[in-house]
Amino acid sequence: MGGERPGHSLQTTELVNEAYVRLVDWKNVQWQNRAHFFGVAAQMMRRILVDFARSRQYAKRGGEARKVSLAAAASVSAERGEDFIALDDALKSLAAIDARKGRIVELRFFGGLSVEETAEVLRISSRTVMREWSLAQAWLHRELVKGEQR
Amino acid sequence: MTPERWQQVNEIYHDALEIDASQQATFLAQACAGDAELRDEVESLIASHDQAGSFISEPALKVAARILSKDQAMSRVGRSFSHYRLESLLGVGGMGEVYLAEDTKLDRHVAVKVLNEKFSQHESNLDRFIQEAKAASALNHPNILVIHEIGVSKEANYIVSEFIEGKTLRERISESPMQLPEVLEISIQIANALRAAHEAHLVHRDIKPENIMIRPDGYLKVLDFGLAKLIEKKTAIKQNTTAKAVILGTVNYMSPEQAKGEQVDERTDIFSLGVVIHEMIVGQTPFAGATISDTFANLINAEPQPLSDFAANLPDELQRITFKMLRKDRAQRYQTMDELLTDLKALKENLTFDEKLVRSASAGQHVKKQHQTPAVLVLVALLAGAIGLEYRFFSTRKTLSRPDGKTSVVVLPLKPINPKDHDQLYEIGIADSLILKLGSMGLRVRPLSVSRQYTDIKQDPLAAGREQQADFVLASNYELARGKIRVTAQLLNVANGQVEETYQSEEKDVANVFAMQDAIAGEVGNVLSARFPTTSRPRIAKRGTTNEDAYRLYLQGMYLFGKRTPPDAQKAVEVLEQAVRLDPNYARAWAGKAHVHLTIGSFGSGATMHDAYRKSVEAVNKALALDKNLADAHSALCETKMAYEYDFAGAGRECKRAVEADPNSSLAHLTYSRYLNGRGRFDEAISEVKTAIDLEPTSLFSQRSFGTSLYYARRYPEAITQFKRVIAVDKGFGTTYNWLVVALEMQGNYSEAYEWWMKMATLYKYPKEALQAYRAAYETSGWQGLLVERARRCDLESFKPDYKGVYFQGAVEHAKVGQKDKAFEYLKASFQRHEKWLSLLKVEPGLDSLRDDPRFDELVKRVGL
Repeated sequence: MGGERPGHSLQTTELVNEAYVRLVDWKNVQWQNRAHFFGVAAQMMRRILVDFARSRQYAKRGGEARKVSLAAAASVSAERGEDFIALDDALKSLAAIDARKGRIVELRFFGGLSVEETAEVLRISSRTVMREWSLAQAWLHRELVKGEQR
Repeated sequence: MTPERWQQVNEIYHDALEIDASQQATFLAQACAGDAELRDEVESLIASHDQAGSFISEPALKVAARILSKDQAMSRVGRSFSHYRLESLLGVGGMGEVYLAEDTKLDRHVAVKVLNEKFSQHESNLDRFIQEAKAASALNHPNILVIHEIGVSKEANYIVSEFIEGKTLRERISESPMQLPEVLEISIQIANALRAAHEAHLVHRDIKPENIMIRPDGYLKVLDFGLAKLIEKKTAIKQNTTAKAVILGTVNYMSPEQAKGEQVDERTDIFSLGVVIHEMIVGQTPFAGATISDTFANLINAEPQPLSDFAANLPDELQRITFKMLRKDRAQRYQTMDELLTDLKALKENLTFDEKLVRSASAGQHVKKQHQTPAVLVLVALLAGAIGLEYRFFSTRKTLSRPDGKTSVVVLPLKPINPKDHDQLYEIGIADSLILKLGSMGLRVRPLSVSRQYTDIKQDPLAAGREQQADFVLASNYELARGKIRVTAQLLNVANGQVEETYQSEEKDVANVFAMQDAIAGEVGNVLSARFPTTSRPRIAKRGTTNEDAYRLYLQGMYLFGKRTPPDAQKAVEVLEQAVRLDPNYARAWAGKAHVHLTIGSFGSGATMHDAYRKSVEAVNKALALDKNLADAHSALCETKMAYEYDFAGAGRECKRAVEADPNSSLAHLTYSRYLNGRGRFDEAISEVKTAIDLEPTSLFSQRSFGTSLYYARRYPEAITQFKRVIAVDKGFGTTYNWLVVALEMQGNYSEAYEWWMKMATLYKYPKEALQAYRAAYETSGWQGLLVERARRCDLESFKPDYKGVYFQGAVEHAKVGQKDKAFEYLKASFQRHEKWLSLLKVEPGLDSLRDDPRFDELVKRVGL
């Protein structure tokens, strides 16, 4: 059994390339500045990665959702970040309550920006980014744990 | 949730996180004012915050990359390559995955590394890979992973190696802080593996903690030889796209030349190992930055932060070793693994020896009582403790008079009241300030090199005072709390053990170390000035730098200088060069460097000697430009004028100036005595060397110099006694054997001279053939026969262009056997080479047979004596 799954040997470089291609294809977009570019790139990355996760889940025959006991929660927190789909959903809920926190997570997690770069894009201080990140991280983590228990 | 409500949650959440966990409940009860729903919301967020750990801290793209490789890897478990069945995934690396596999033929466990598709795509890559792997598999060394097979199949390329049960050094580092002995043990094993590889002309290129496996029994294996070369190639090709992920793992351990894409050689492994050692001690790599480009910039431009900034109690020697490994310019690093191993092993042995001594000292008191001498040696070894081992101890000296009747004091290093506060900067630094202060009050104060011997926390102050034949001991301790220091000092009378004065400081700020040290020294001085009416000269002794690191390095450099061996002198130069790099206006360090170069010159001849002279003059000029009254600079200048310029009048002036500038400098007196030897002023020379000894009684070098002054004064019996004393303390101390042999010879005691000569020849490992020739010569024709044989052997070697010996010595050998013409030939060569020994032309007893020859007078005139 086993065997390579066509379409899933997508390597990270290709992921990045795909995002880049999508970006430059947006001919009608006028890049206002670096910050603007970063912002759009992060959104793009988020979509690509969620798509990637969906196709992977599909390949795993319906993607057995992992059930994690609460006791084990602390140690699996990093792995929880691998569930792009659940994260994407939770992030939408967060953005509904607090749009800026949603943007911060999008830029940092999906866009890979540093605290300083995030601050530059959103025109707020680094300290604010860190404070908001702390709460956003706690909030999203809580959402994902809830989702697993359901 | 309303925006107002959310805002409220935000505020309480942040406030709660800022206060102490124990007070959180109280705070929340108050802040939520009975609103249970609000409190639940905030509390659950705080709980989630505590659990979140590294949740979404890693950028999504990296997470995706990890998922991808895991997916791919998992799919291979259960498959077979040739007769290897993959059982489980052990790890995923840049080049591929590593599996635990069963070798079904030999029924054993092996590790199979399956290379990435991309990796083996290019045929030339593959060829090179196979070639390198073959070379690596040919290395037969217990610290290098054994490669069983290199497999190439349609499906994948793979390497089969022995399976090591254990953990990687990476895992070990993240487990818990590492202790020095373990760090050294691991470093030495890695260096051993690399030495074997380098001997086979194989450079590893990718030394990092992930590539080192530690077995449960402590045995270590270095993995992945030669594979890195492929990564480099790959990186270079892909640089335009996104090779970041590939470099990411390794850039921290790259050498500057490797990062710049230049040709690399063995020395790149030395650099990378330096990074690994730094990481084992500090927990992070020395050049790591927030981003790859930061790391890259640090690697090219920044100096590594000293290890002592991270860990207390580290030997300075380790700092020196890692610093040398991490030099940007590979020509300034260790050049071979052998050189590095020598230093690492020496350091480890000193540690082991220390430990043993500590153990044996506490093991049983009766041992001490039964064997007085060993116990004393144990004690001395303990004192030398933290820095290294050195038996600079004299048990038989009793009656050296104090020439000027001044009161003498030993200042002990300060002791921490709480041992965990131990910090050399306070212990030695404050002692140094006190020494300068008391010296400026006209007291005869033992120099810092003496104080350094008493760093042991259990040191009995009075015993130290007796050993140094001092009238008083200043013993102090200190206490640290919240950035403040409090120092207590007691002046003890060595004769009756009474506390004569006590001083206790106010709490002082340690932020400005030098201001604190000077304030304390000043206050102690005030307290003691009542007891010792100040005969103070207005000159104020200067520390001379405000850079703490430069100061530390200076202290270390002068300590190494005091050992007077070629390797220590080399190290001393390196350390002092670091000091003046940190503070180019540090006159004392420049002067110290000048002295060290002179010592190096005296070990060598020819080019080494002249190079040393030039460097010494450079350093002394820098020192004098900064401080024209610096004693150590003037004494260095005296030595260069006398030994290299044959300017004896000038040398005399400089030496006098040095002892006047600082009458407490034993180095100044010692240099002056050497000058006086050459001038034939033996009584003065002996008086000066005695003063030097009085200032620093435990210096073996001063003790031996006393012997040489006696020898030139032709007081042979006393000289013989003195040399034997030195040998009794340290049989390997420099050329003391040689001195003893010539003194015995001059006394006419040939049988004993022969006895010691043979001991020396054995100690210094003369070639067997030479030993036999000497023995035969002595047995047939007595001492004179041996001298003839020596002169003959001298001729075999000398007058070759690269002759490393001393021509002056050749002249002595020939003069002793009556070969006058030959002797003058040697003297002529000595003059042409400008050998420093010619300053002793008029006093060397070995040249007596030449003195009535007109050629001798002429030479004396030409040298300017």
